[in-house]
Amino acid sequence: MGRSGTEVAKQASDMIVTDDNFASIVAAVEEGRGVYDNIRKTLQYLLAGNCGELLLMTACIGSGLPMPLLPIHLLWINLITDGLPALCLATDRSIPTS
Amino acid sequence: MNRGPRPRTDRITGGGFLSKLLFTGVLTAGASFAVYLYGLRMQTLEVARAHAFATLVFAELLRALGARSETKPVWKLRFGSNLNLLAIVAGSFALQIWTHQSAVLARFVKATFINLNLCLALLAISTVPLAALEILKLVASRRQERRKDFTPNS
Repeated sequence: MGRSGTEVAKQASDMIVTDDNFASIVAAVEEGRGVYDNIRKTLQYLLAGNCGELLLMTACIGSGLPMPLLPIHLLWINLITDGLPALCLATDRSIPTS
Repeated sequence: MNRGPRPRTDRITGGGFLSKLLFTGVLTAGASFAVYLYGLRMQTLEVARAHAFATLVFAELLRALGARSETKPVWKLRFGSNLNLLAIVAGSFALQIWTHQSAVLARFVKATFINLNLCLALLAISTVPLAALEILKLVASRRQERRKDFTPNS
């Protein structure tokens, strides 16, 4: 307990409830799960997009076709098309799984 | 809050993360590759590039809507809860279509003119990765429900 707890108890504890309200633990767990899910889905979104670009370029170069995307296209996709939605995904509110 | 705690040994890249990533990449690249090949056969290299570019951008933007949840399909998500994402996806769609209509922007990104009907056709092709991923989510959630039904109450 952050308010009523002694200094010794606070130092020995793994977690301090700063507002002395146990309901805050539930909120903290929900917040933590939300942050974890957001990191995971943002990573998935960005890496899957890059993987798609990489596979497209590799498939075309491997089969002897000319490059399907120019460097400016790749920059555009990575900065404008992927970057801004990824920011929104990173700040998304947590969605209940069930 | 009825979900159990995540095991400490669980990695952020666990639980089919990498396989889903690769599957998504294959779908997105496949849609763009098909459009590119068709463009190369029917028209010039520049046109084929513009089509592949537009398809990739559309597919990525559509996928952003579905990426909000790993388990819930896109139509079950409340869109109002992330208005920023909606606004950015809509704005990026408009910008991409405008890029293929405006001569100045087209010169800047080295794209060619694409008429609106063709844009719609490319948009339809771009929905394939999103649709496949949503079907995958549905199948996975049904399997999970069945598993829950068959497990004895503890």
